[in-house]
Formats: sequence, structure tokens, C-alpha cells
Amino acid sequence: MITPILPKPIVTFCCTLLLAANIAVAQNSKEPSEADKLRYAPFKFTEASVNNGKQIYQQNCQSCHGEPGKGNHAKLDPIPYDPVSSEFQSNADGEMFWYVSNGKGQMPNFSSVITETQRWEVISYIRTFNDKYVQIVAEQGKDAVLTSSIKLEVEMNQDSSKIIVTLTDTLTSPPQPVSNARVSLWVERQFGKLPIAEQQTNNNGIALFDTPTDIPGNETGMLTLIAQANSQNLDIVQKAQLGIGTPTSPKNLLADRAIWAVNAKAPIWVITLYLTGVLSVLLTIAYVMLQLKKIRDLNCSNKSKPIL
Amino acid sequence: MDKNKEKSRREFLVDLGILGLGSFAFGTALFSGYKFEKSKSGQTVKLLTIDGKVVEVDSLLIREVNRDMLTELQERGRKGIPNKSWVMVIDLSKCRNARKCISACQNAHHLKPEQYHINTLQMQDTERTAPYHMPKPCQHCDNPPCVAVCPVDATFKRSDGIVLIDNERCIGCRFCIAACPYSARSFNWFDPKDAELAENTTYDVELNVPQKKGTITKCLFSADKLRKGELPYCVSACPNGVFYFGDENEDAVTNGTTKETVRLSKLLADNGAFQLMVELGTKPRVFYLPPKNRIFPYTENQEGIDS
Repeated sequence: MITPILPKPIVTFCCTLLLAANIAVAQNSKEPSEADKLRYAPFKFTEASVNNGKQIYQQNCQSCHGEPGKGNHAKLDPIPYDPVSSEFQSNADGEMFWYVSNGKGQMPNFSSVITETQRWEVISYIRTFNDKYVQIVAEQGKDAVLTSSIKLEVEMNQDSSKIIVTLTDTLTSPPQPVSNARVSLWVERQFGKLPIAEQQTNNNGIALFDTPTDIPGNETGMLTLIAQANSQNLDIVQKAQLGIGTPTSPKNLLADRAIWAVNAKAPIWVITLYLTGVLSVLLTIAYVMLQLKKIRDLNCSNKSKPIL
Repeated sequence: MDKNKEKSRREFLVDLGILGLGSFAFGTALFSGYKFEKSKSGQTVKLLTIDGKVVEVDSLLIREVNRDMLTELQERGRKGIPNKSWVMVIDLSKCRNARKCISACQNAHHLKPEQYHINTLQMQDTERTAPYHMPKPCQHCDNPPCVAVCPVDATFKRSDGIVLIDNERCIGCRFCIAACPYSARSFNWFDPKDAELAENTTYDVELNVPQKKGTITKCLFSADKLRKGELPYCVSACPNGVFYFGDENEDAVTNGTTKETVRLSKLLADNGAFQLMVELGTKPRVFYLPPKNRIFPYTENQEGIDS
């Protein structure tokens, strides 16, 4: 048997590498990566984007970060910085975007509260407090640009193992498929959307999703799916009812007879026991009365007899 | 035997004649009255029905609805929202005692500062274990001891899992306070807050407003908000993402802060969820996730931290 002999320095080096990689992974979960920091807004900041951003800021951020420039932020530890402060403005656009999307320290993530476009709009508003700021707009990548003429369709394939989401531009004739668009699939729930998966559309404008099999639907197994195509300035949303859910029969919580104060809900044994108790007490009293009457009758009949 | 012959044939015929004439007169009167009423056509008015349709109705046919609002609300409140089964998940690792849930709840239900439907408790299980904050609302048990002891059927369980109180029925005996193992209920010893303001509002079982002196009050899972399809007051007020709320039948709960929706079964399984005092057989509807991997250190008395 051959045992590989490694020189000591190499082993140490490998260990160090592994350790470094581990630390890097650990940090990745908390901090934005270099690529994230270099992310830029996909559109030029305008007055409209600033106004939208201001509204979103007032609704979602102001309660902790305070009104910009007034320093009336919430007294937390660490301090939620004022957007005007240099600590805040020294962040790159991509960093800010990452923190809003993923949260930082005690700050919760806002990825389900405000859309990506809205997040960039907030950043556009915050940057108005920095005179030195010059915006870098992201290069138009391969991501598709969506317009309002684009139609989103959701259907199932024949054995219903896949969900097909098709994106077509209806303005051109014949309608052109939209490729390289980011499509996300969700299931509608009572208070929000449950994420299923995210895909890019292929050259035929189609994104294929595996059908989720274990999600509870209504009594007949119908589920409301939401397909959403996201782009820089427009989100196209389409809902579809598909019978892919697990049929559920809602349990009637009031069906069982528990120990409850009303007769309709009291267990039969409680009612029987109670009624038997009451009845036996009444019968006992009746029996005693009967005996007393008998004694009285006996007494009377004794009286009528002549005393010897 | 002679009884049958008490009435002579003549007398019987007279009686019959009177009866016949009488019923004829009555019938005619009824018929003419009906004809008269029918010929009377009032002006038609356009009305909006509950489902939003505009209909034309003869003004004479309009009858006022005699049922009062209170009865309506009481009946609706007893029924519950069909096919729902509400559950709450509280993530103890995220609670930093901001007490926003408490203030939102107290505002909504007109409670005084010392009255709690939900409270954040400072917990320390043993001397050597770490302390943590624990929001504690009513557990909305599936086998509620409070409901079992109520002598007047004032507190009740609904089909969607919520345990409510009808303060119009409550006699203030406080049996339910004694029965509840979670100390979720409190008694209105004094006149409620803003008593004058709420004087003219109809009592809503699902909101418990106006509060009534001499009756019980407790957490309602914000039944009025749920009817509107919104998250409860405390859940949406939390700034730290502590609360998840949703429908057990859908196996999904939504975080009140981040609005993220997650699978309930997965959330409970992955985080080692637990419930309070299950050994009593109360079957609570509130789940807790343990206070691990906290993102902030425990500090005492953070009350009113940013108010």
C-alpha cells in the first residue's frame, strides 16, 4: 500500500486556504460580495424616480432612519444612520441595494416588501443628499427589456409535470418570443406569495418549471399560480388557476364534542352523568317522602284502632 | 241522545246562511282591498344592492331592515371565516423588546397602558441559561379551558380557530381568568380608555371595542383585520420580523415585517419549534421558534426603546 507523503508546508498551506474559504463563506452570508458592490442601477435617476423613492422611503425607512438631515433616527444600537451622513453615503449603490434586499444587523430585509425597481428609486432619492455623487448606470446586459405589450402566459404540459411560462411580444407581427427574461413563479397564499422558483426564458421565450407536488390547494386541488417577469422598469404579472395542488379538506375545529359549557358541545358522557346524578337525587328524595307518607299512614291507621 | 236534536233544522239553515253571507262579505272586502293596493303604484326608486347592482324598486315595496347592527356583528363574529385555520409563529431569536406589537394592539383595542392583550416578557428559564424576550398573546387553544368554564356561553371558539368573547353576554364572573393557564385574559376593573369617544360605536365582537367595564378582555388574533384579509395589528407593527401569521390549511405563513411567505411545516421543522404547556392538552395555535443565533445581545429594560 502506498501512502502519499505530502510535504508539511503544502498541508499547512492547504489548511490555511480551506480556513480562508470558510471565513469567506461565513462572511458572504452577512456582507455583500465584491460583485454585489459593483452592481449599478439599470436606469438613469430622474426626478420621477426621486419622487417615487421619497414616498417609499417615508413609508418603509423613515421610522428607523428618520427624516434625512434632521438626525431624528430611532435610538437603536447600532445607530440607523441618517441618509445624509457620510457613513451612509460612502456605501456604493450596489452595497445599499444589497443591504435593502438582504437586511443588515437589526434591519430586516425588504426584498418581499418593495420591488427591485423601487429599491433603486429609494437609492436615487438618498443620493440627492450627496452633491458629489455621479451616477453610473449599469450597462445593458443580456437581460431582456420588458414593455407593456409583452404577454405572459402560464400553462401546464400534457402530463402536468412541468409548468410552462411563455413570454411573447404582441406588438410585433407575428408575435416574437422574449428570451433572457427573468421569470419567477409563486403560489398565492392568504397574506402573500410563496416563492417556488426563478428561471430565465430560453430562445423560444419559454421558462420551464418543475410542478410543485406537495402544496395544499383548495378542496379540488386548485392552486393560484403567479408568474412574474421582472425587468428594470416593469414587472409583468399573470395569475393562473391550475389543478396541481394537494386537495385539502378543511378540518372543522368545532366538530368534536369537547368539555364545553353549552349542551350542543358537551360530551355525551358528561351530559349522561349529570342527568343521572340529578335524577338519582330526585328519586332518593321521592323515595324518602314515600316512606314518610307510609309512616304517617301507619300512624293514622293505628290511631283509628281502639287502644287496648 | 237528545243533544243532536237541540238545534232545529230551521235554526241550522239560518246559521249556515249567516256564515255564508259573512264569508262572502269578508272575501269581497279582502279582494277589493287587494285590488286597491295593487292599483296604487308608487314611484320607482333606484337602489344599490349589496352585491353592487342597481335595481329599480317600487317605493311602496321598500321595507326597512329591522335587524340592528349589534346582532348582525354578534352573529358574524360567532361564525368565523370559512375554511381557515389561523396560526401564529413567534421567532424568539428576533425579538428585541421594541414593544411595537403592544402599542399597536393597545391602540386598536382601546386598552390602557397597563392592559395587555400581548406582552413581551423577560424570560430566564434557569439561573445558568441566557435570558430572552418573549411576546405572549392568547394561544387560541383548540381545546380551550376558558371556553369550557364559561357559564353563559360568552366566550366561544370559532371554526377558524379563534377564541373570542362576546362582552354583551359576559357577566364578569372571571372563571375564565382562573381557567386559562397562559394568563391571557384580563378584567376591565375600571371604565375603559376613551369611554366617551367610543360611546356611539356599535360593539364589535371581533374588535372588542368599545371595551366594557366589568367584563373580560383578551387577544382576538385581530379577527376584524383577518376578515378584511389583512395581517393582525401586532404582526404588521413589529419592526424586527418576529411574527409569522397564516392559514394552517394553506401550510404557509407570512412574516409581518418582511412580508416573506414561507412553508409553515418547513419553518417549524427546521427551527425546532415548540409550544407552551402542551402537556395540559390545550392544543395551542401559537408556535415559538427558540431564541438562538440572536442578531442583537439581550439587554434589560429596552422598554420604549425608540419612542
